[in-house]
Amino acid sequence: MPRLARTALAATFLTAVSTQAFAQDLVVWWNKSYYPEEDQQFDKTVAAFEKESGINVEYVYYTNEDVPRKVLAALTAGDPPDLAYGFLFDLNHTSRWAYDGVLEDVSDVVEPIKEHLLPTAIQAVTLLNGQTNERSIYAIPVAQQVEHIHAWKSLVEQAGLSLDEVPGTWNEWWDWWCETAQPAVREATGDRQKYGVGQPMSSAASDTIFAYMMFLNAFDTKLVDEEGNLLVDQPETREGMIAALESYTKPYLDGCVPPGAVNWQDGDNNVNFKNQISFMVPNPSLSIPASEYAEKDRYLKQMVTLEWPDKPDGRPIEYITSIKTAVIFKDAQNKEAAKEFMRFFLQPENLGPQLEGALARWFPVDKRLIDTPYWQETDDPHRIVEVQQYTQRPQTVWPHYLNYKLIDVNAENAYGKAVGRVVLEDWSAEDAVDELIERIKQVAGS
Amino acid sequence: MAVTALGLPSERVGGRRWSPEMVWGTIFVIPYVVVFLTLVIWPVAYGVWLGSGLASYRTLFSDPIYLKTVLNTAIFLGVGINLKLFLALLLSGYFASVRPWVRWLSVIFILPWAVPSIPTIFSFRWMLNSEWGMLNNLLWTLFGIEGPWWLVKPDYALGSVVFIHIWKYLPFWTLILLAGRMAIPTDLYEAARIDGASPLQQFWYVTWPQLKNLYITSLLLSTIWSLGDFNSVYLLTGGGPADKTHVLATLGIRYAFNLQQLGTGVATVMTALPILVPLVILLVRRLGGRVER
Amino acid sequence: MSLGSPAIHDTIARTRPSTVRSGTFYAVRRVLSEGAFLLVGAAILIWTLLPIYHMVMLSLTPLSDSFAGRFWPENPTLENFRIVFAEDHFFLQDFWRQLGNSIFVALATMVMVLVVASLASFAIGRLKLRYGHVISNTALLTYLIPAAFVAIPFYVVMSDYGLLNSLWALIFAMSTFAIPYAIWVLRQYGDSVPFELDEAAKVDGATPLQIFYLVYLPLLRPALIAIGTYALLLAWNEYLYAFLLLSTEKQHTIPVAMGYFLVTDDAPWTLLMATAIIYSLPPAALYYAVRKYMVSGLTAGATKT
Repeated sequence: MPRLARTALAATFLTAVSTQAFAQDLVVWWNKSYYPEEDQQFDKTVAAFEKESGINVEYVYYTNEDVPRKVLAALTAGDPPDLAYGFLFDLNHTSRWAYDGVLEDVSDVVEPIKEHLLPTAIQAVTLLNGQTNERSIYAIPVAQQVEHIHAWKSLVEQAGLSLDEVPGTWNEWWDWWCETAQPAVREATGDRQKYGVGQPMSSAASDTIFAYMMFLNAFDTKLVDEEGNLLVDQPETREGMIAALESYTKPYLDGCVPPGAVNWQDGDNNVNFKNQISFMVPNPSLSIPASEYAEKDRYLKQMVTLEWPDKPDGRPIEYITSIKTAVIFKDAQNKEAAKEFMRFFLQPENLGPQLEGALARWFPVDKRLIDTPYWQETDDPHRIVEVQQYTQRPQTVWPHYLNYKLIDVNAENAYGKAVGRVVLEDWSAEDAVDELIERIKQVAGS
Repeated sequence: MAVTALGLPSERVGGRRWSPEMVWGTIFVIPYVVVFLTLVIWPVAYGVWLGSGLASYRTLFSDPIYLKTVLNTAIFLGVGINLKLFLALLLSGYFASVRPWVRWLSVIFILPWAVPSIPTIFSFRWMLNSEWGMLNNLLWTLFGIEGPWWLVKPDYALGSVVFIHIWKYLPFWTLILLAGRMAIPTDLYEAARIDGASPLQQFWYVTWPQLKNLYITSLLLSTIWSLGDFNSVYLLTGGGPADKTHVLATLGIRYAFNLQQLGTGVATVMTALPILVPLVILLVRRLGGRVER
Repeated sequence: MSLGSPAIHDTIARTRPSTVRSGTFYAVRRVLSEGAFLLVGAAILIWTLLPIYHMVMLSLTPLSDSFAGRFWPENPTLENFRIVFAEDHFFLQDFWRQLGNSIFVALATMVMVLVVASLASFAIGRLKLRYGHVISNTALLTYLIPAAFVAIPFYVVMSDYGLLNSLWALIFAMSTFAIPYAIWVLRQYGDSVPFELDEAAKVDGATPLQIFYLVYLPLLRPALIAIGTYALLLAWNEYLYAFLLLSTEKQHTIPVAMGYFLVTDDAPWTLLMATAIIYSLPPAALYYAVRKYMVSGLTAGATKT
């Protein structure tokens, strides 16, 4: 063959091959986990997928805050990744992205396994698309977390008390930690820097919002109805919000919360608990015990996970759950490959080890995974309580899953600001809630 | 043949005289012009465009923390800069002394400025922690008093921000003013001493007139730079508690990157323009004038 | 009122203290003033060193004691430094790589600033480029815009250029902010170098390039050292832009990596302080090595009236 023709053929072949390879590359932005095991497990899953499907996956780990930031920049530039997964997506972004119409409809990924998924998970990903004005499935549920309570049993017992004495109903429960346990622990340890309630009070932490939502549940207060309409104008809602805020801020005003809590970021309530500055703490996910996993004595004997107290009238409280979502972008290059990857990832034999690598920090949303020895036949004290919270107790979803505009209220943490008004500026709970309602209406009302 | 300033022969190119200096000069200046166009003009123009939407300003002004942020910025600038430069003036006199150990002290004194911000400001942040910080612990063990909640009470928190800002930048300005003092001819002091002037009079009649221009220039420059001081607030308090210690610089970043509202973020820093622009004009006149020959 | 004027001498004569004091009075006053000097010196020392002492103290504290808040650790240890150097912790896995990134960014910024600024200031100041003063005044304008204010558009622009997460984005950012100041300082300093030297070189037949290389640069050496150091330190210490422009761990510079310590569950702050001390040593050492150039270089022109 003449030389020129050969060169031309080679060039064409190479171009075809390289664009083929390029077109096959699946771009995945994944949230970096807190534990090496979880990341390693994901590496294995990707490798297995590449082998089975022949699709090359280009994935990168970003931290919690960076994944949404990168996605925003990419969306602005018109060049989003194919698939993205962020722990904070559901709290701050997913339902808004769905509304804005930038997400790909993933019903064909979720519908086939719908029967295995928990109802809260389905509810969390069936979102309103503002362009079509219809609800459909725009995200893929991967795992979930609820708010747990942890305590240092060792300190309580050192003070001569027992966890069996803790009252079961709401107000009495919080008062016990503050008025009974705190003085006793301080005396027993001789350390005046011990606090009975490690409640996050900061407007810089999403933990504050999570905890406040639980307090709203305790007082039977809903911010939106099932269709997503705001209920904040109703007097019962306002009353409920005030009662919740009063209950929330009471321990701090009584001196039972570390003063620095108003400055805590996510992770600081963990830190203060681990160092026994506070000896009882609410926290989403089982990250606190998981971080002590290696210290067997502390993990198994000294630290406990507790259920939340019952509502003031004795009924069991509903747990608000945060469903972690992965999303595929409508303007991405490789949506089919992304869907294939997610189908692979969601298979119990892949997702199971992934969640196990996270040391029980996340809980499955797939019943097939819940029904495994890892969760059902464990003697791990923390996991036992966790399973109970998820399977035996009622669950609700976040209000902003139903009304995406409330995401902005989350983003600026108006709830944390209301808390700040009460504890830093001596506002009454009524005034703080009125300001909060005003802000909610301003941001989400129209 | 025409001759240019440097006496080099010039040639006619395309109807205009292009001396070798002009050719070389143009070539030499091209890298800078490229940098300027791609990395200054384009981002600034884009920023102005981003911040030109009225909706962003409406969002901004309706945010309850905006007013507090402006107030904080005003206090931060008003107190921080004046205190800092006043101290710098005093300390420059102190370090002008010829005592040998003062020389050593001035070498240590520069550390806050030379060491990176993150570790020093973090270190300070933990020192001030109400539960286990070194400062309150010291107060308790030495004097038995409960230290204030430094970063919890908003006023104390703002004060701490001003403090750490002064801590970091005082050495730099002291150095500037010290250099200014060194440039004052000593025979002026001699003449004053012969006349029997007291140290205070020497300062007022010799030092101050010579330093005045530098002092004012430094004030203006420091104001502009402090407007952009992100680290002092962000690393010490994060803008907290409850967003009560934000300044315009940190608030803008918060809007743009935490709340994903780029337009409002730019709008925030734009609202500083009424202060920034007059300062810049003043300063360019003061400094730019000297560049001319 | 200038010092030579008769009016000033009159004022001084009028207002000077008129009483005559004894010798002991002056001796006592000298002791007191020495004491005051020492006291002020001690105050300055404590003020300057307290946060830095705290840093050092924390870095020598074992991980388990980080919350004790003591003045001096009970069991001081070098273990934290070992962990950092051995990359023996989840958040320090890429320490050496990140240190390398910091070094690369700092050196590249220094080179870029020196090259661009010296060429430009030579062209404007020595070759008398037409409209040169326009360029140097607009340069000054850039210098006056606070960096934090342009961060947002800069980020988007870097995204457009496809440079996000690349070290070059940071290098360009840092250079952009250092170059105007550099040009200004070099011009100020260059004004004190007589023009005759350029002319002499030209008479010997030197091209402008040769004059730049053989006359200008050597004469401006102190200012170049000062500017180079300034650019290097600026890039080394930068947090905000590094944080915004770099995202994956392998691309981070050390300040960004240090920032991430704050958002974790674990809070190994003693490790953070150890990292910080290691990171602070090079700039401090460099600064001390060139400090006499820093003073004369950076303040040239600022002090001219």
